[in-house]
Amino acid sequence: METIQVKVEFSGLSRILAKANDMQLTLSPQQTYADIIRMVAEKYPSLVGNVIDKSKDSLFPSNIFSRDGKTVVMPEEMNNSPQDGEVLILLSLLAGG
Amino acid sequence: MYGYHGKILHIDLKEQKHWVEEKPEDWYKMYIGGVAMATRLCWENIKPGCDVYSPDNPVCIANGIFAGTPVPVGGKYGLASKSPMTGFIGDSLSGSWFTIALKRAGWDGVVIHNISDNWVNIFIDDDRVEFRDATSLLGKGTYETEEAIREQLHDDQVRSATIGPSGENMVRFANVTNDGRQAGRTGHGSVWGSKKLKAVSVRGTHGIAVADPDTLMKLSFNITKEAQGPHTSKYRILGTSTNVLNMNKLGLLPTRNYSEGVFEGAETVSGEYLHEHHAVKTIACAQCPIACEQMSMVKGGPYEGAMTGIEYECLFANGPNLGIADLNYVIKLISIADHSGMDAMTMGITISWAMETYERKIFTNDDFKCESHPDGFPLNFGDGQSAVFLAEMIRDREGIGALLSEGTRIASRTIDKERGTETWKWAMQVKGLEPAGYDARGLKTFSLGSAVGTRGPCHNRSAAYDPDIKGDVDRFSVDDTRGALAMETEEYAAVYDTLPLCKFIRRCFTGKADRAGAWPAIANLINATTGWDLKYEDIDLIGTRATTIKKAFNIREGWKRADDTLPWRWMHDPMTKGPSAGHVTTEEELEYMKDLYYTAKGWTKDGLIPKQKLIDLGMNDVAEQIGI
Repeated sequence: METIQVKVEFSGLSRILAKANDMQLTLSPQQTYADIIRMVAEKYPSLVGNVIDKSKDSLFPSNIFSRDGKTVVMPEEMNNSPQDGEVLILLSLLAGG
Repeated sequence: MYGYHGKILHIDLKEQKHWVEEKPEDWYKMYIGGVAMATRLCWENIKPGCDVYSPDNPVCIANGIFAGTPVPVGGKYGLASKSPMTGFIGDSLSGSWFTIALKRAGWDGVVIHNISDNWVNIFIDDDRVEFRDATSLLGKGTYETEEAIREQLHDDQVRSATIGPSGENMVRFANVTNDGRQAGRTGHGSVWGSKKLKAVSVRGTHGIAVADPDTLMKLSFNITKEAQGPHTSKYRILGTSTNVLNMNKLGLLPTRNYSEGVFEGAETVSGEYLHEHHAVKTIACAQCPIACEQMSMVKGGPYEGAMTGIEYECLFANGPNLGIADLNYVIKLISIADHSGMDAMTMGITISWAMETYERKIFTNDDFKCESHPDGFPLNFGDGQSAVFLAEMIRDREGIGALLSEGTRIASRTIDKERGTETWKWAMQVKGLEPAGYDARGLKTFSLGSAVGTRGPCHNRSAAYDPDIKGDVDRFSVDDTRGALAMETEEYAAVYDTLPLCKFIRRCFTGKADRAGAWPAIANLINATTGWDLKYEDIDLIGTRATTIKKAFNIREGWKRADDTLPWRWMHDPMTKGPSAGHVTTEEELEYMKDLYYTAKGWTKDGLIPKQKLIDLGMNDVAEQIGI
């Protein structure tokens, strides 16, 4: 397989700042979740410092990538590669008050 | 004593007299403020086993340690009584100028005893207490009551905690309101209504002495600066209503009386949609630099002009949970609750129970006949207009609204007894309180946190959803870590609720929200305020003592292990759609996790507290009464 398709869905703060609902990415199979964050940061610089860390290779605290709403991409998985067709939901978690 | 006045004000409504109780500094070190101090005042002043509406169930108010200081988000107070919803401790918090005025008036707390002969507005004018006739305030909404009192007293600096028509009518889940914020969930408004207490108003003119003003100012300035940065942008821009789509994508958004976790109309009741089409202003609680509340308005149609603050919990309860995908109805429903002073969560969940009961053909149109609606009306999911009718009937206790004003536990028991039905199976409540907007079937740790909560299932008192949602554990299965996790997240929340500080500040100390990131900073704030020398482990003890005094209160009121349970639906009726479909927390799983939780707490298998455990926490008098 020469390329894979991954979709990033924006929700909450990321949707407001990016002014977009989602982003479709075409990746080589070797590319990682950290690469995805860099690509999102490049296309939507307004997310950097709010949703994406200034380093552009990790998410800001309390923001997560949820895989299909079922599992979470943990920080130690950032150098792993996604599956073809994976949907990553970028969530800004909040609760309490 | 710095940070405190050392004085609790007691007021007797029947005798129209007041007296002062002085408290030693060690008492404040034990219970600090907020929910823990308010619960301790309940422990000392409530007659065990009393009826919630009797003269023996006083109103207990406790300021926070930081009220009136520069510490950001410290302007909250604790309000506690024996809860009409649960019969156990009812502890609530509210961000408010009221608490700052009370602190400036020279009081750390107030205990209001007995029942007034006539409707009364208590006016605490520094150390003077006046019993003012409240007849002219009756029928006024919560905001209108605050304004009317200011006009009566010719002072726009007077701050009031009030009840609206729902409290006057003793809607069981009525709130106490101040500055548009609600001390909600546990039915304080109906306790105030039972006492003919329409409002407590305060004018405070004194200063608040702190031990090290320079250090406190520097610490507060740094936190305030962080609180206006990226750690809180999600709260400032969208507020908690952003959770509608978050929860929907995780399959956890309560939909049609918690029958499903995904809602096909989520987009049009989302925080994002609200932000674009209805938000008119963002407002802040007292002493808060974040400002998360989205004031939102209906801009056209029959409810044009309806306006109130919208947060996730009231939004889910009156939107997806009713099958309503039109924010005009949702805002109208929440504004009815807020203006009349009733809990919008319980109101919405009670209406959703009635909708399901109607769709199962147990209720018919005739059940909703009343003077305002002589022909009755249908009550299907998604019918916003009928939901508005029913909310007004609940507020006014008109027709079947009188039964529904008791909440889902009493309403379902009454209907089941009358009609031989099993509506209790879709009555979403634990201990009599309706749950939060996180469907616990897909959050196993949070299902435990919801079951063991002392005031009932609560997203604010238990943060046990956190490890589930962040992926620290598998949210769909159970393992032996869950007891300790439920305890740690509950006691973490209890620290914030006792100071009290709004939890939205938790990343603004060091960038990290965990204990290591926050506790040293919180200790520094307390020490600069009081001159004490608290350390990291002392901050942990604040949370442990807070949860312990609340549990002790419940044990004294007859709590049993079986009270720590879940709604039948969460244990037996899996969702069919979305990422969380197919899951429940079985009774076996719940009992296993309860064992783990009680063990982690150092309690017995029956969930009771060993005497030595209480003595180790310095709670010797509590040990005498309920320790085993």
